[in-house]
Amino acid sequence: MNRNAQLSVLIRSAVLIALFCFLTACASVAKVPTEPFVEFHESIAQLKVSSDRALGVEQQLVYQRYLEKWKSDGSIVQLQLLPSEIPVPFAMQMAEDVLFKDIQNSRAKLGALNSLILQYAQTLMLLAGASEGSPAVNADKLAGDLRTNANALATTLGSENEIADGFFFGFGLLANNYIENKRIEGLLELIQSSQDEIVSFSNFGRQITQVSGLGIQTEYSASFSKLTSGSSDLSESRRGEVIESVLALNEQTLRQLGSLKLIYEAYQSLPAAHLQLEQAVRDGTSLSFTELVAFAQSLKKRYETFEGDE
Amino acid sequence: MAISNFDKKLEILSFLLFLYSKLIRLSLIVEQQGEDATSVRQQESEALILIDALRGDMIRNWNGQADILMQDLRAINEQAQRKVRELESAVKKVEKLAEIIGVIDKAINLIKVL
Repeated sequence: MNRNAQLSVLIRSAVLIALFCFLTACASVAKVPTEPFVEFHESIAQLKVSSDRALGVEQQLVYQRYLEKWKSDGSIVQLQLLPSEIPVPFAMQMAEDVLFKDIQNSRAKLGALNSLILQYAQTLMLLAGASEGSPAVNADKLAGDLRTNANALATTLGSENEIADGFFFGFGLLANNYIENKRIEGLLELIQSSQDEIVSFSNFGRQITQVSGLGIQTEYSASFSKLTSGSSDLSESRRGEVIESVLALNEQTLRQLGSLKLIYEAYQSLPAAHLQLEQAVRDGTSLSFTELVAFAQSLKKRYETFEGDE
Repeated sequence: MAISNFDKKLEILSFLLFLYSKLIRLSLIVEQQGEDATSVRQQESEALILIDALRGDMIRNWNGQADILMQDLRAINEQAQRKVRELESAVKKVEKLAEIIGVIDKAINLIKVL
């Protein structure tokens, strides 16, 4: 056997060994369904927008109440910013904690937490092959490149043995299956190891939504008290105005509480939706509509209906 | 990870809110009967101060715990990015297999020239 023929055998052997490796790695091959990952991401994006708006409403109501209280009580001294006892060059604070500032902080922190989960959902999409730039093998291109290079090599070696096209396309397909298996492995590991953090995040979202719900109820009661105080001495027409204001306040409050309830339920359904992603990867099938998606879509509809109203 | 005593505080807040709304109702009833409701209104204001204090306390606790959760969420994002990089690296390795044949071809051509 001359040197060229020896090389030819060597190259074929190398390709066959590579194929064998792929075959062993591709015992079971399934395609990751992308739709659940897209829906998961969209739902979290909607939840982020809705929860920020809801806390924004509470913050504004508390701010208005404080403003009115300060106007009537004349306690402007409470508004003075003071330097801290330990010298801090770039910080000052009010003497007392102010509720609307606390709500503003929690709104910012919830926004940051939501952004981190949104970022996680985006990476899940990337890993699942559901977004542009997802790592993937183009089986046809790979087979084409391999054929071109192998033919060039055969010509160089003076070999007349043509390798069948099926061999190259089989290689492309196996390479693709190998990557899909890696994708499944990576997704399963990631989803399983992140579940505890998703549960914690869900609890945090639920907790702040509950506090905000009771906050909205408090602001309602404070407004109701202010509107109706002394109403028994009013003229009929003035009384009519108060009743109209109270009815509008009732409607607005119930709508805000309804939105908060949906946000609460969306946070509550998040861990199950996350686990359903794992199931979708295992089964290789898209799931039927999840609870999270349903709540997120209801929130979207709600805000589209009452845009600028809450 | 849970906010300590969160559920208890939530229960107390709900109860205070219930009392507050009852005091508002009582003020209105007293006024409707032509009586002086000043003392009830005063209790109403005190209830609101207590409610605000508890809301503030719960929110500040939540804010403190949220910082810890943020670190955990950053860690899962880093882990997710690692998984993406692993997959990208696997894709590159597979694509290299096709390139290797081309490299061998070029090397043989080079040897021939020499």
